[in-house]
Order: sequence, then structure tokens, then C-alpha cells
Amino acid sequence: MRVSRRDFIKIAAASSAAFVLAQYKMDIIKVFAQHGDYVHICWLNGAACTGCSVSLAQAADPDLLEVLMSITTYTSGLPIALPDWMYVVHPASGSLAVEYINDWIKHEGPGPKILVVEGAMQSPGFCETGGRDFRDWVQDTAQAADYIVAFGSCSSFGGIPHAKGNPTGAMGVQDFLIEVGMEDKAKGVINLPRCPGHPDSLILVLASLLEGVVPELDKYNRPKAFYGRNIHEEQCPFRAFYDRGIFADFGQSEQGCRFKIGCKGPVTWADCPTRKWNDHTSFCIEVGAPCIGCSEPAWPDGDYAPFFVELPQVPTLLGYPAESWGTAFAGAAALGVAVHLARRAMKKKTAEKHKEKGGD
Amino acid sequence: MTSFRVDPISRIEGHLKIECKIERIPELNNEYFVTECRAPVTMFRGFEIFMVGRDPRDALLFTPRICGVCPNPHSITSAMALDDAFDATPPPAAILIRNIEEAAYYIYDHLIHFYLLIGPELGVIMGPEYGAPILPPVAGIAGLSKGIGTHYARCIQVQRRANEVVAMWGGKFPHVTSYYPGGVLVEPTLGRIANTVTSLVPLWEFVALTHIQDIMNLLKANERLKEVTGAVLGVNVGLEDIGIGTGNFLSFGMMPEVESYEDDWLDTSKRNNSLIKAGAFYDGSRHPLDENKITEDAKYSFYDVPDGLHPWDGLTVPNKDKPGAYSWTKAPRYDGKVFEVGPLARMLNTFGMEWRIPRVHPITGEDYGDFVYRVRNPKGSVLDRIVARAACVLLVANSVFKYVNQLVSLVKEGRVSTMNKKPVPKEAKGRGLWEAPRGALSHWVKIKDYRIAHYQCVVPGTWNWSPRDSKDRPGPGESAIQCGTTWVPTLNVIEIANALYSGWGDVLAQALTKLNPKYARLNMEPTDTGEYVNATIALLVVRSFDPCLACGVH
Amino acid sequence: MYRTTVKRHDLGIRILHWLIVIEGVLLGLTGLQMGGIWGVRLFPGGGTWALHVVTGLAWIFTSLYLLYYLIATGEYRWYGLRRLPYGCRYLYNEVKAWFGMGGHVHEPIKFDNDREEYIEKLVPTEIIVWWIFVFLGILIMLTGLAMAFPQQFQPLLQFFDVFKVILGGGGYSIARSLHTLSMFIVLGIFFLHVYAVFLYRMVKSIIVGTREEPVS
Ligand code: HEM
Ligand code: HEM
Ligand code: NFV
Ligand code: SF4
Ligand code: SF4
Ligand code: F3S
Ligand SMILES: [Mg+2]
Repeated sequence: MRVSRRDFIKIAAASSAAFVLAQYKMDIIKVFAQHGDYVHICWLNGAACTGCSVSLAQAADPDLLEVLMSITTYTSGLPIALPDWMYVVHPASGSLAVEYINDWIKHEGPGPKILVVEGAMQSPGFCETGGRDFRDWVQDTAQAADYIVAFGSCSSFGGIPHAKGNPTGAMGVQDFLIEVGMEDKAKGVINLPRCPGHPDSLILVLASLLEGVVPELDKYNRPKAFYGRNIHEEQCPFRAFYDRGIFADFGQSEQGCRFKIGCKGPVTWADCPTRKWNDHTSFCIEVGAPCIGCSEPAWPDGDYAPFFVELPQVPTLLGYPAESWGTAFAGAAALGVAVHLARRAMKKKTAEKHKEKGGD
Repeated sequence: MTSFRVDPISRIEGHLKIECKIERIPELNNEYFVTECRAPVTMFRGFEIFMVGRDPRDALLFTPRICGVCPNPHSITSAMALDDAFDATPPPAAILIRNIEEAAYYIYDHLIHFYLLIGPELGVIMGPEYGAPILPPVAGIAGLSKGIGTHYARCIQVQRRANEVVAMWGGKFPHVTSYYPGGVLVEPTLGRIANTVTSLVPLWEFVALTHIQDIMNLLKANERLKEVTGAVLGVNVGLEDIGIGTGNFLSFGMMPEVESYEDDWLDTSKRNNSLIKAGAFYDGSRHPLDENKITEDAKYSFYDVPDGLHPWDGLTVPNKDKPGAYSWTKAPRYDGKVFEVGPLARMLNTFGMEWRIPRVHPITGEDYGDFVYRVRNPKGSVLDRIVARAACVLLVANSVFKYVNQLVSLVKEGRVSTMNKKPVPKEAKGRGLWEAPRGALSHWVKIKDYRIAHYQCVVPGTWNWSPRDSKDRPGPGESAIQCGTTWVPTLNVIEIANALYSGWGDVLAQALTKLNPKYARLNMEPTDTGEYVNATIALLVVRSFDPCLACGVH
Repeated sequence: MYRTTVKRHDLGIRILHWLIVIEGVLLGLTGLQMGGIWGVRLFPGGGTWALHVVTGLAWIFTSLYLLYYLIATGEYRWYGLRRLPYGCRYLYNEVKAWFGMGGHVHEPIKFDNDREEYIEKLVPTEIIVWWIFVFLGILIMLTGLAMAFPQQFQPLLQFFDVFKVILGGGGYSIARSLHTLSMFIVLGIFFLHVYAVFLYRMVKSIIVGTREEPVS
């Protein structure tokens, strides 16, 4: 049975629930199988750590092997190699590899051409591959692509390479395309941030795109199904501790909200607490660590780093956080009252006749 | 003299290209051999720049992002650098948890390299009988039932299980979040320990039985290879004869023993009790490590910095237009000399030239016989690097059960604390030294006013893929490619496979052509005179190092 | 000069005032607990956050109602913004007097017994306190809402995000800092306010409504 477009819109919308992908696993696999030989993916790595590629290999529902093998089972024995080009798994190197990328650019139907970018874009001269600046590759492939997927925080928003100081002018693919005057292409980029990108998000989005369904996106072009909910407000398993004001210190993973050790869950929109990582094994907060907000555009700066410093202490004035200034002010007021009171009491004693101000 | 290049290189991490000069050698059947090689690394991000000014603890979460293939070594190395700076020795449970997490991670990394990255080449060399299981399953599930790609496919699943253990303790993989100066954030619950053991048993079985068997098959196939090359070239050339190194091997040690952590491990000139010892192996024997002998040159690197700086004084001032420079890696040297790092360096420094590693099932106690290997080429070679990697992963798969048992004992005694919490120091310095899968890794941090004032990383990818140094000596990778035995045939992969095992090339061609008709031209590169040469052997040398360039440049 | 008993605050004002006080104390205590500040931990169970936010919303509406009430009863004229300079001058002179420079100002409250209305109803510092409360109230409301309902109030978060240029951080943490800071300032003003009302012997008036006022 062919999976219908309507089914897919439904799956894409529902996939924010943790095990929905597992539930629809067979449908997702079928989509890849249906398209078989016509899955045309070009996967480029810019200023990347390759963690996003590695993350894809950790996919669980369905796992990478299931996806790859399904393609071969349902079609005429295509070997196990999903993308037309991808550095880390591809058999070819050198001039043949360059030819494959160019073939992908020239290729015409059937089936959509999907460009997956891993890693940030940079100013000219900081990343070269196949004899050209990486920027040129992305411009050409983006021009040819039916869909562009930025997998991971680097390609979505610049990620770690665009951390304050940013010596290479790193930025996300969307910003880059705007910079080089490709606004129309920039508009369509689907961002799948997190560091690394979550494999579920990529597999579902690829399957959706094969069906011609673009998932509903938020204002940063992230699919709402994965990034629609706040970690702290709507999902965190340690929320009950927060509400009771019980906080974990460093080295206490079993109890207490991580807020005091720097959890950025309150400013992070991603589904880690429910979806988790590595076949639903765990996620940052569960092992006693703070969420560092790796899914957000400003990350790692803005609200996020320093990672082990609690949120309200991040903006400081003259080096002191709000709590210190506040305590000082309230303390000063209390002290003022005390001094005033003490002086009045003394005066009253020494000069009973002295008329008190404001009184009778 | 003519030349060719390979750019990009797939199935490695990051952006590396090789530019080779080749010459026909009359004594060797007038075949082409590489006489000179440059290996430029072509991507730079600038971690050592944008980490300055940050909270020192942020290094724990920034440095793993240097590399998503080996994030864990950076996590633990930055943690040890901060332990040092914060003057915080982790409690025993934390040391064991770090060991367990790194061990599980390590199993994933080495397996991925053997099966997914270098496997396809080895599979071709090993032929239809031994090689098929480690080739990608070219005929889908049907192929799997015939054995083709079974180990390749199982590796994809096994590495995933290994990383689930990493995630149990570290939150997620890649990029764990649970390290902290003076320990780890995660507590050793019985649930975590039980799940760890459950996952580790099948990992051990894959490593000790399947993977080691594949290695033994490779050794057999290598003899066949020598016969065939003997027929073509007039000399027997096996995998131990290509990619010959410098004979200098550096190891920083890994997996400390809890009992001797302070006396033995923290003193990097000792590190005798750890699973892998620290040391500099040259002139055929191990010498104690001396941290002060590490320096970095930058003559051919895109940085405006002086040569010969120790990482405590290291500088990172990028200049992408620097005349004469050709790589974003610096050129680390030890005692002023070129040193190779990696699994072979670990094994030589720890066990010398002959290794014997038991294979006793951790649960049933069944003995599958020791894995024994004598180093074939003491200067290093493709074969020795590959076998050393397998030996290391077996060693780690054995020892992780010891760490788990020790942790269980601690939990029973109630010694569960995983944190020796210390405040961020106002002014301090610290360094961490560790063995990442690809070799010796070090982080060097200075703290001023509670902020990072200086952060330098000298990474395995920097050591092995360094460009030429201030004395114009090529780095270990470059040396191995231009060692004189890198044959660049004009035959294509299919023809070579047919020469190795008759009909084998045709089988491969059939499978590959379905994927894309152009695959017959796999690894065939045009020279500047327009001829096509086969770069497979050069690439085999490259991949024998398991290069990681995101690491190398950071 | 003599004094006469005057109805100073009608029932509505008094109820609203004490409602605000109760809500304020609840907000402060729950807030301190949530923020893990000073080790305050009075509320067991999982409802601290809900209590804080619900009380916060109630507090916003009570304050709005108080404002409306003051305007409707004409009392607002004593607090008008135009009278702020007058309050400041008074405070300035009093502080100077306290340090021995110049004399104290006489209590300005005066009641016109014939026309049965105040000539001056307030100690002028009350005007200052009032306006500080109004300003902080708005800030607390905006920051509180932005944190409590980040989804619905995203524009607010974006507004606070602008201040990162000076403060660093981002929208949420700036909002949170301002919220916490305002809370502390309210606490400080609260000390002064409570002290002052004892000093000026006004406590009775906000409980039973009457006070002995000086007649002109
Ligand atoms: C007099 C009034 C208020 C006081 C004294 C007050 C005080 C506090 C304090 C001390 C905190 C903890 C800050 C920290 O963690 O550092 C807090 C948090 C909070 N306040 Fe208030 N607050 C007041 C009014 C409000 C109002 C009107 C709202 C809006 C509905 C509100 C919503 C919140 C929320 C949502 C948080 C926690 C933010 C989070 O979920 O992380 N507060 N408040
Ligand atoms: C967060 C806590 C409080 C807030 C926000 C607050 C606010 C106010 C405001 C706005 C007024 C002016 C209302 C009016 O006279 O029309 C006022 C008056 C007054 N408050 Fe409070 N108050 C607080 C706590 C208290 C407490 C705890 C006391 C008593 C111990 C108190 C005693 C008074 C008195 C006596 C007046 C009347 C002053 C006068 O007659 O002019 N207040 N307060
Ligand atoms: N080189 C390197 Fe790494 C490793 N192993 C480093 O520490 O790979 Ni990305
Ligand atoms: S998003 Fe993270 S994991 Fe992905 S390439 Fe960037 S740094 Fe690596
Ligand atoms: S929990 Fe937070 S830091 Fe961890 S992966 Fe999710 S969004 Fe990123
Ligand atoms: S509730 Fe959870 S999201 Fe963070 S702030 Fe506390 S651990
Ligand atoms: Mg460096």
C-alpha cells in the first residue's frame, strides 16, 4: 500500500510525540522504498565537525540500516548508498566525486533533489573542497535543489563556529543564501538545528519531502513537530522539582531541577525530553547536566553560554547579576530603616521634649 | 616527473586533499610510484580563538564540537585539563565512569573505521571468500543472506549500541554533556550499570569474535596479495610494505587505574599502570614521555606565528593568504622530530613488538584463544596500523568489564560520589593528555580572571596530518605516502580485483555499475599529462591513519 | 491646631490594599523559592509555580482595579504625575534636615473641616512610592508574563532581547533578571513603606479607615 500524502501530513504533524516515529516506522521505510532509485540527495560538509553525519548513523526509528536496506529490497538491487554524494560514506573520491556532485546538479527528475548541508558557511578562503570554495558549491547546488535541508546547528544558524569571536565569518545556510542574493532559495531552507541534528528529524523530513510534503515550520524555519514546544514549560521530567524549588548541584543526577547549574531549558524549544537520543536512551538533563540550548538561533551565545551559569545571572551589570544588585538594594533599604530607627530612639531618650516630626 | 591529486577524499573525516608527484621506476616494472606528497587540510573554524574570554567550563562543551566523530576524547581531555587547573582530582567512581564512557565510545569509533571507512578497499583486497562480509551489501537483504556485507551491516547496528552506552552516562552521542572539572555530573545508579552490562556483552562478542576473525582473514589475504604483486612488480608488496612511517611513535596513555590515579596517572612521565601507557617509542624502545618536548611549527601553515612554540605559549593567528603556506594544520613535533600517533603508537609503547590479548567471554568465561600479533614493520605500515586498531579495540572491550565491576563494588560500599567540586579559579593553568582513537591528544588551558585566557589543542589529526615543518620535513601522513612504495597503477580497480581473484572484479563491476555506471573509474585520477592513474593505494595509506581533519585544524 | 477624626480610606481601598499585600507576599515567597534565593522553601508539593503565576495574574488585576478605583473616586488627583516634583522636593529637604542641614518640613497633611475635604492628603513621599510601585508593577508584569507564557508573549521576549547590547544574555534571561531585580526593589521599598506608615502613624487608617487629621 502506498503511503498517501495525507497520511504523511498527519505523521509529520504528530511526530512530536516520542514514539510516533516508531509507530509509523514502516510507513517511513515504505516511502524511501517507493522512491528507491529516485532518492537524490547531495550531502555537503562545510565548517562541520561531522557530528551530524555520525548522528544520522545513530537513528533508531527506523534505523539507518532499515532505511538503506529497504531501498534495495523494494527496488532492483540498488547498492547500499543512500545519497548521491556524502563525504563520510561515499565510495568515490577526487575527480569522480566532483563529477557526481555536478551530475546531481544537472540531474532532472523523476523525484525531488534534496540538498543536505552539514556545517556552517564561512567567508571565502576558509573552506575549500574539490578545487573550489565551499561557498561556490553551496550556491550551485542550492540553485539546483528542489529542497534544502540544513542539518544541525552549524548549517541552520552558524552553531559553534559562529560563536562570538567568529574569526571565519561563519553563518547558517539561510543567512548565506540571503547574503549572496538568493533570497527565494533562502526562504525555503528547512532548519533542523541541535548539535548534532537529531536523526529522527532528518529521516522524517526527508521522507516528507520525498512525498512532497513540507512540514509546518516555525518562524526560524524549524518544523514545529520537533521544535514547537518549550523544554522547561512543557516537557522536562524534572519540572516537579523546579516547582517545589528543589535544585540539583553538580554531580546530582537523580533529583532536582538543573536550573541552578545553568539549565537553559526555559529558553529552548526542542523535544529532547520526550524524544531523547540514541534510541530513546537519555538526554542532556537526564544525566545531571544542564540543557545548553543547542537548538536555538543565538546559541552558543545570547542566553546560552556560559553553560554552567544559571539563567538570570547571565546578563550582569558591572559584573554582578540581578540577584546581587537586588539583595544589595533590599539590604540597603532595611539598613536605612534600622539606622533611622536607632537614631530616633537615641534622640527620644536624650531629649524627651524634642518634638517628633510628622507627629502630634 | 608528473603529478596528480585527490580532492576531495571520501570516507575520512573532514577536508583533506593529497597532491602527489609520481615517477616511473624502471626497477619496478616501470610502474608509477609516488615520490613526493603534500596533504593540505582545507578547512578552519578557530576554536582556539573563540574560546578565549569564556567561562573555563564551557571548554567541556565547546571542544567536543571540534569533532563529531571523536567528541568524547575532547570531552575527557578538556575535563582533565580543567581538573588540573581547578586542582580537583575526581573521586574513584568518576574515574571509572569516565573510563566506561570512553571505552564504549572507543569501540564505536574503531569499528566504524574498519568496516565503513577503510572496509570497502580491504574487502576488495580480501576477495570473494573473506572480503565479502565487510563490503557494503551490494544486493540488499538478498546480499546479506549470501553473506555479502553482513559484518558491514552489523557494524552499523553494533556501533549504535556502543553509543547507547555512551548516552546512558553522557546524555547523548555525539556530544556528551556530563563531564565536569573534578568528576562527572552523572551518578552511578544500578539501573545505568545493569543496562551498560546488557549492552556491552554483544559488543564484546562482535569485537572479539567477528572483528578479530576478519582481521585474521585479512592477514591471510595479505599473503595472497603479496604473491600477486610479486608477479606484477617483481617484488612481493604486501600491506606491511606500504605506508611506511618514521619509526617514531608517541602515546599519551589512556584508561587510568583508579588505585594509582594520583601517583601514576597524574604524572605524565609515568603512566605505567594505565591500560595504554604514555611514552615516546623510537629506536625500537619506549622512553618516558616529556610534555615539555611538544612544540608546533607553522612555517607552511596558514598562521602568522613563530615556529617551535610549546602549547603553553602557542598562538593562533590565522592568515589565509600567507605566502608559501598550504595547510590549516600546524606541525607538531616531539623533541624536534616527526612522530606518528595512533593505535600502533599505543600498542608499541604499551606492549612493544609482540602483543597477546586474551579472548575470554566476560559472562560465560569461555576461552576463544588469545589474539597474538607480531609487528610486521617496526616503522609502521598500513597493515600494522589496521591490526593495532583491532588489538586496541579488543583490549578496551575486555577491560571495560573490569571498570564496571569495580564501579559495582564502589556502589556496594556506598562510595558513589562522582564530584570533587571546586570553584572556578581566578588564575590557573592546566593540561589534559589522553589517547583519542586516532592518537595522542592534548589540551592546554590558562585561566585569568575566571576566564579562558589561552586555549591550545594539539590533536592527533594535527600530528599525523601536519604539513612540512620549519626544517621542511613532511608530516607522518605525507611521509608515509611518499615513502617510496606507494604504487600508482594504471590498471583500474576492477582490473586489479580480477588480477587478485579471477572473476572477482567482474562481480564488483556488476554491483557497482548498478549504483552508477561511472564506478569503473573509481579512484582513477588524471595526471597533469592527461593519463589516468589509480590512487587506491595512496588512499589506502591515507585511510590507514583514520584521518580526522576537523580535529586536526579545529 | 487641633485634630479631628476623618474617614481617610473607604472600605474598597482598604480591601484592595490588603489584597495586594497578601498577593505580594505570596508572590515574593513563591518567587524566592522558585529562584532558589536565600534558601526560602515554604511551599511543599508541585504547585509553587502555579501558585506564583495565578497569584501574579490576580495581582495584576487587583492593581488595575485599584487604579480604576482611585480614578473613579477622584482620589487619584493626590497621586498624579504632576505632583511628583513636589514629592521629590519634600524628600530632598527631609534628607537634608536629617543630616542637620535646614529644618524639617512640617507634616503637610491638612484637613479642611468646613468643606470636609483634604487640603493635602498625603505625606509627599507617598507619591514617589506610588510611582515606583506603578513602574515596577508594569515591569514585573511584563517580565513575568514573558517568562510564564513564552509562547504567547514572544514579542515581549524579543523586546527584552534588544537589551542584550548593554546587558549581554538574551531575551529570557534579561526578562528574568529584571523580574528578580524588580522583586528585590519592591522588597526594599516595602521595608521603607512599612516603616514610614508606622512612623507617620497611619496603620490604623488602612485598617479601620479613619485617622486623626490636623485641621487647618
Ligand atoms: C510582586 C510581584 C512579583 C514578585 C515579587 C515576583 C517574584 C519572583 C521571583 C523572586 C522569581 C524568581 C526569579 C528567579 O528565579 O531568579 C519569580 C519568578 C517568576 N515570576 Fe514572579 N514575581 C511577581 C509577579 C509576577 C507576575 C505578575 C508574574 C506573571 C504572571 C510572575 C511570573 C513569574 C514567573 C513565570 C517566574 C518564573 C519564571 C520561570 O518559570 O522560570 N511573577 N518571580
Ligand atoms: C507589597 C506590599 C505593599 C504594597 C504594594 C503597598 C502599596 C500601597 C499603596 C499603593 C498605597 C497607597 C494607597 C492609598 O493610600 O490610596 C499604600 C498605602 C498604605 N499602606 Fe501599603 N503597600 C504594601 C504593604 C503595606 C503593609 C505591609 C502595610 C502595613 C503594615 C501597609 C500600610 C499602608 C498604609 C497605612 C497606607 C496608607 C497610607 C496613607 O494613609 O496615606 N502597606 N500602600
Ligand atoms: N584526530 C582526531 Fe580526533 C580522534 N580520534 C581527536 O582528538 O577525530 Ni575527530
Ligand atoms: S551542528 Fe554540531 S554536530 Fe553538527 S556539524 Fe555543527 S558542531 Fe558538529
Ligand atoms: S537537551 Fe538542550 S542541549 Fe541537550 S540536545 Fe536538547 S536542546 Fe540541545
Ligand atoms: S525543570 Fe527542567 S528544563 Fe531545566 S530548568 Fe529545571 S531541569
Ligand atoms: Mg591547535
